[in-house]
Amino acid sequence: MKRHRFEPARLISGLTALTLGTGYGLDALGLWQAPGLWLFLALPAGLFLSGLTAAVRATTRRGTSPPTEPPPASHI
Amino acid sequence: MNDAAPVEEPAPADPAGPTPPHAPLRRSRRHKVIGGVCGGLGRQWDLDPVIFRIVLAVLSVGGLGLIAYGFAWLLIPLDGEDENEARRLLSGRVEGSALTALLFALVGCGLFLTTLAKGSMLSFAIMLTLAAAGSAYWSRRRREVEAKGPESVDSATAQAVADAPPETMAPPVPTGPSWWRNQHSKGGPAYLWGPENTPLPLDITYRHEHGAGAPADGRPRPWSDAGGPPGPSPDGTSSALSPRATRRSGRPIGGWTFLLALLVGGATALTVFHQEGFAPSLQAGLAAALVVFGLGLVLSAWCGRTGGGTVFMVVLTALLLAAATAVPDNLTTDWRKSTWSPTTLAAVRPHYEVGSGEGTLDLSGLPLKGGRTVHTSADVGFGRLQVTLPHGVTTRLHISLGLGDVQLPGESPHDVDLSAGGEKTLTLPADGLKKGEKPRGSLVLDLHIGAGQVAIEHPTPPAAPTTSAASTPTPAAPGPATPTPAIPVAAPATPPTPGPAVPALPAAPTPEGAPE
Repeated sequence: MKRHRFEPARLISGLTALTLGTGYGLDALGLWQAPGLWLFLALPAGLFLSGLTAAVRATTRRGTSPPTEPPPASHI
Repeated sequence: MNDAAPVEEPAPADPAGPTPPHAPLRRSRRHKVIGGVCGGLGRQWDLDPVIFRIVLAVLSVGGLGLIAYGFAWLLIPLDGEDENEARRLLSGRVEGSALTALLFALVGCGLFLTTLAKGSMLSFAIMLTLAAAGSAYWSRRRREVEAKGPESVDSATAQAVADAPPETMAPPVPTGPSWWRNQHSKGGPAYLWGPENTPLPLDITYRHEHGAGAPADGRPRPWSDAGGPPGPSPDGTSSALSPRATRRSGRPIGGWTFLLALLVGGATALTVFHQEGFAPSLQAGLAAALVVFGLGLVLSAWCGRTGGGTVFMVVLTALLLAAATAVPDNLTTDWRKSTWSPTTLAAVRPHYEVGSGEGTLDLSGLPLKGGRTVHTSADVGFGRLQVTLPHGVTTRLHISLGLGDVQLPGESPHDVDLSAGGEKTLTLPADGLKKGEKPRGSLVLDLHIGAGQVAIEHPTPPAAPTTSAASTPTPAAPGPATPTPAIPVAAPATPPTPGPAVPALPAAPTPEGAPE
């Protein structure tokens, strides 16, 4: 598969899902006692962090990319 | 009887109709949300249909609005037709519209019957209907005044009705580009929503063929041309390649991730289900699916592309997972009904359990006497647990309840208080005792229920078992083991002798249980 630029937001949301899945999976198998609601709170926290990363990245990219483009000055 | 009031609202319109040349009441085709009833009523009574909608919505809480709406839908013909839906329905031309109307009336009837006991609801509904009818009538009078002049009605009405038309105002001056255009982006007209600025050669040729869409300067503008579809602008072609194209690169892998998660989750759940119960397998399957989603997302950080759908599935799976952890572990997939009624102290098990179903623990036949204490516990994952207490025995209860209701003796069976995550410890005093009589023993119950109801009650005939229990020791005494019953009776203050005392008792309760 073709590689593209690294996207930290996807990585963070993926890691959040992995954490939750592993934690609850171990809990289901009885290998580890999940700390109830606290583990679940990792989901909104992780998604929020991911969104924040995406927003920051979009702003920095927008700040850097336009100079490379010739602005079409036609539209009102 | 009450639904007659709103339904017959159109009825006075017809007698009143002939005097001024009114159009007959019809359901509106143009101003319709569901059946066009409110639109038609609004046109008939010259009132904003929204008023009728609000009144009907409020009345629908008690069901009356739904009944009225359903019947109005059935009885008032649609604009331009001369048959109403009820007539069509009865003559065999069953259509979806008529069935929906019928469903409205049915649901309304059901709701109305459930709220029938609440008188305040009914009076409120009547008042609201009267208010709506009054405002409709007033609005109609006003139209009459406008049509015939103020002389047609009495002076007070004419004065109240007359009000100045709104003042004419200049149209707003157009200033700059509209707010939905992103003015900050230098790369052409980036819209907040709408078409993406991706080049589509097909669309450009479409524009060239239909030259009418292009303005005079030869530059087509999206949204402004009347004929053409809102396609991308050719100007966006250069800019579109920059930020969006790089971000959107890669093949979508969300679908494959979902498929894989489904398979892995299902397989895990099945595997665990064979070894453990229902709840752990559900949890393990969902957790495995979540892990696959996580792997897909992590992968898409470098190659491939996942979108909001995958994130949504992650959230959904996590929510289900959290719900699955709350499911009691001993939940079974079948519904069981168990009844335990130990009649001897030896028959009392230390633990009773039902996964999901109904458990009835009948301790009323327990021959507890001599101040002895009996410990037992019962566990129901999901369902109902009913405990019948013996007479004359002090009971100490420890109830741990995931979600549901605890019903103590003396409470009405209709009194349901839903509570979540409660642990309760309480002591019920002995009942059915004569004055001055001491409790015959004590019972310690440890009840655990995941979700459902715990009902604790005393046996229904309170007097009969007490007398029989009091009288039975005498007939039991000449039973098979004459000297042994005397020992527990003679040694009331020896609780640490359940071992030797228990085998001695079975002889006594068997004749005692027989008359019951």
